[in-house]
Parts: sequence; C-alpha cells; structure tokens
Amino acid sequence: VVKIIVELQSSDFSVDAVLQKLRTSRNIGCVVTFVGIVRGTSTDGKPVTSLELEAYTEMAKKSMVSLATDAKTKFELEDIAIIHRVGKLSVGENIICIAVASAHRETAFKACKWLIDELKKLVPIWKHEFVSGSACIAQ
Amino acid sequence: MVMGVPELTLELPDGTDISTVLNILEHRKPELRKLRNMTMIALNRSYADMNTILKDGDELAVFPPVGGG
Repeated sequence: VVKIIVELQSSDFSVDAVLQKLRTSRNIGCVVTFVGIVRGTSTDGKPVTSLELEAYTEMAKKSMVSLATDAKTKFELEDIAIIHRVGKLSVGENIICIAVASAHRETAFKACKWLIDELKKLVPIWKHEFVSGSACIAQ
Repeated sequence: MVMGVPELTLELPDGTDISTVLNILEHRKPELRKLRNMTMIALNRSYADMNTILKDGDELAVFPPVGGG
C-alpha cells in the first residue's frame, strides 16, 4: 500500500519525522528529500526580511494530492510526502518538504524534481516577499 | 485583490461561460484587462477551460500565476 502524506500547515515540520513516516515497506531502498527554505536574498539581489505564504487552501491540498498520485504512477514510487507551510516565515525557516521513497535512487531523484517543478507551476500558493519594508509577489 | 473584495456572488443567465464572467469582471474593473494573459482560472478548485459553461453554485477562482515551494 502506497502511503501519500499531504499537509498544508503554518507550523514547522521535522524532516526526520517525515522520513520516519515513509519507511513503511521492505521494497524501499532510498528516500530522496527536497527541503525549500526562506532565502535571505530576492531573485534580483535585494535583502529579504521575511516571506508570507498564502494559499487557496482547499484547491492547494487537492492539487498536491493529485500531483503525488500522478508521481506514484509515473515513477513507481513506494511512499510520498509533501508538507507545505503557509503564513509569515523568517529567513532560514522551512517552507516545504517533499520526500519520495522508492526502490531505487534514479526514480526517486527524478520524482522529487518533477514534484517540486510541477508544484511551483500548478499548486495555488503565493509567496509575498518583504524586502526592506515593501512587499512583492515572488515566483 | 484587484476587485477589492475576496469574493463576489454573481447572478448569471443560463449558458454563461467562464470567458463571459471575465468580461463582466473586466467591465467592472478595467485594470483586470491587462492581467488577462497572466490570469489562472479554477472552477470548483480544479483548473478549467475558458469555454466551460457555469452551473448554479459553481465557485470560480481567478488568480495570478502561482509560485509556492
């Protein structure tokens, strides 16, 4: 049975705790993890003070479940976790954790990259970057 | 919030499609017009085609390009 964990939450997460939840099958040979964190510099080089993440909540959750389900089929994964935070975050804080468990590393690396790339294109979550007192939407 | 409110309820004739709703919104807020090419549309929390006909009680979301992660 493939385990799919999807969470949209304001609180922080423990990557270790996420990884422990994925070790559910004897078929798992590896877990590849992507952790996104708040960078202290904007894409145009300005110092970032904080980030506010806003979601169209129900659709965001639905989209993440749909992506995880697609990834499971496309890459033959064992287990998948996508944890995304919302709310105001400071530089250095965790934003997202994507973890994929698979029999072999090649599919796990591919799946993890595919998931974060698709999530950025499709899941209705927006980043408002605060740069020295002003805010703008970041990609 | 380009429209100035988080949500609006519209009374529409039968057979109205999403594209027509956008025209109505643009008529109310002309500055929306220049954003049309970058607008993403979801109907009942799934991405939808502009030609989709709306039904009573549908929830249409109009938002800028997403960028989480």
